Amino acid sequence: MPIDRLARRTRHDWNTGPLAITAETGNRIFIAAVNALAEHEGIQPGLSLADARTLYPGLAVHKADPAADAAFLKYLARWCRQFTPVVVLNSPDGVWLDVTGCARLFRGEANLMAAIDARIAELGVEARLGLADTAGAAWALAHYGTGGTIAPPGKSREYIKDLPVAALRIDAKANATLKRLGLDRIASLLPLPSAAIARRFGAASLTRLRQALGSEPEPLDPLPFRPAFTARMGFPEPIARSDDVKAALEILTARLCERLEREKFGCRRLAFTIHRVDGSTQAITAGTSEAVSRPEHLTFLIEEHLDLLDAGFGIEKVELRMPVVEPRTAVALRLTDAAEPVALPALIDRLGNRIGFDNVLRFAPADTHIPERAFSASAAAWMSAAPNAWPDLPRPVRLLEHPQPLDAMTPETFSLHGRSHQIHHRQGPERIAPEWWWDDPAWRSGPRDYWRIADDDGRLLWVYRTANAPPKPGVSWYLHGVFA
Amino acid sequence: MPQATRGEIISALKKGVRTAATPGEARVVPLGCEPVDMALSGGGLGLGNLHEITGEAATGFVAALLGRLQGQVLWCAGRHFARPLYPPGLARFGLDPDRLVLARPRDKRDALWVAEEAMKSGALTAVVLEADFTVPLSASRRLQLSVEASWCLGLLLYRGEEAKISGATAARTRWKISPCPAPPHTQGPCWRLDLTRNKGGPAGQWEVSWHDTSHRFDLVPEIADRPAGTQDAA
Repeated sequence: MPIDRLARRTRHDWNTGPLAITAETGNRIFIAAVNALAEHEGIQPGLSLADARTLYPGLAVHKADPAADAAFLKYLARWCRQFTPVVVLNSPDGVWLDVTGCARLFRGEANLMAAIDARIAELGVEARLGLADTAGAAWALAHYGTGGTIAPPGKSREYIKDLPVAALRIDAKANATLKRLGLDRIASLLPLPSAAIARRFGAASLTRLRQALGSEPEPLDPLPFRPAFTARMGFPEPIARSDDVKAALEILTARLCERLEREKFGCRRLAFTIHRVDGSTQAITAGTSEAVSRPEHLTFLIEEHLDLLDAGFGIEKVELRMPVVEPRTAVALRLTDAAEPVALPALIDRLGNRIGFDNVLRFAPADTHIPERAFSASAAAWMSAAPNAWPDLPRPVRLLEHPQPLDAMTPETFSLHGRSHQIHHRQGPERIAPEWWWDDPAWRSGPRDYWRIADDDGRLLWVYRTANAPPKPGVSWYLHGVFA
Repeated sequence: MPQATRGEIISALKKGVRTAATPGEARVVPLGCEPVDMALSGGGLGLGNLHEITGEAATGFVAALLGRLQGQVLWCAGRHFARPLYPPGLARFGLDPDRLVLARPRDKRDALWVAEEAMKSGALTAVVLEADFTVPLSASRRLQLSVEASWCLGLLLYRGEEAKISGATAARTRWKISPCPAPPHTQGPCWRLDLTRNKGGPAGQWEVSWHDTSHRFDLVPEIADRPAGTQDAA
């Protein structure tokens, strides 16, 4: 499969010469997969790269990309949805199709297998098929059978009994033990008492055997079926007026929202694309903070940016897509708020889409005494207005980013910006110590004594004195905030 | 229960709760200080109106006004502003920081857009636009129209020099809030409220003190006993 993926990606026929895909474990580079020509040269998966090069110096080598392989397998699995809705990934290189009830559509299982075989070959992917009553037996037939084998209902046992025990998906250790004992066919395991198998070859081996035979269920996790929410509208005559585009947008949104409503989904991201007469496309995308299914809300998000679109010589098709949808969760009904509870998320979405979601914030208290870090601000879109416990401390309403030094501080006067002020009233001190586990450059001067002072004009200021060594000689008082 | 009747029942319930909660439509924010409220038509700062607030102590006054209201509040302040809002200090004015959504627009154009959208939305009880630029008459008129539609309290908080405030505005009131010396034994801040512009009412000037625990304004006595140099030394 990695080679097929490589061939599809590079659009190159790699079957002109021996090719190997290599993987690394630790310092060792070994062969992970080979094509038919390389196999012919005697190169097998598991060989080290140096040995392979000795066998065939002209070997073409590509590095394995497990992530891309996994993605390709997922793509193949989705592609297989044309045969059945229930598709299960079997990493790293297999896919199970539950074709119960689907064979009828292809006039029989043999035809279905032929269709899968033909279409997957068209895709340029080499595949081996097997069909049986259980996932385990089908796996055995596909991996160790002659290829394309169909075990008729109830006959799985006969079909797999001549296969090697490795076809049971047992681990390498159990496999080696079985081989050593001469039990190399599944048939040789069948007469043994199950307790003995479990004891000698591990409970997992017994489970696999029973799963292949259908006497124990095997839970499979099919790929989630993600419905595609897309609506398109073509025009017999190209349109260009923004009102027309808007009308089309409204119709498409209404259509999709009706479906969202019915299927209990909500839209998280949407994209509106216009296809122009000259063949180019332009798109507007928008995101929402929660699953939304109200057409007005979604229309608004797109409408705002419609003027960014350039109709050019006309628009012949528009498309509205919701790439991300989520099941809607129930929202508790509120009776007291005059405002609709949906109005605020809608507003946050509109603001966020224009000025950026990280610029629409909500606050939460932080667990620290350091004033600069006493609260955290996070995107309002991902936060609810949860009731937080804000500490009840005398704190200013505005905090200076950089504390300003106060000159000539005496118990009665101080001077700020060269102007002298009388101290009318003072309260304190409140000692705040730096956190030793957090090296904050501003707090290297040690603990601070905070005072609230009122000057003769009635200004309330939050000032502090560094209790220990003053950072600048002569200056030990700073203004840190104002109360009002 | 059929779908249609469920919606009807909910709306009827909501209506019932609303009428029970607010006897008589209170569409003003009273300051809780009689002489000031008397000067304002309706007995307080009108909801669905735009109010301009300036002066050194404007932030505290705005926080106090919002503290006398319920519901969610949007505070719109440019991201380049020095001395940003410090949420832990707001609770003292009755404004729970949990009720606050802060928007940080890039520039003046976005700031006006955010304020207008927020005022129109009907999702908020108050919107504060912090501005370090002159809001032109046309823009203030737009904002006034937006708050009228949603009955939200619109506050225009001017920062920096007063010269930035142009003469013409669509706002209903204009205030200048400056600190004033507190009489002894008052805990909260004292402010001089200069009501310089008041549509449909007289201008005025009061000295009030903010009471931290009861969350209301008290008039500072005219002839206050203020010996100089009073100190509550610790």
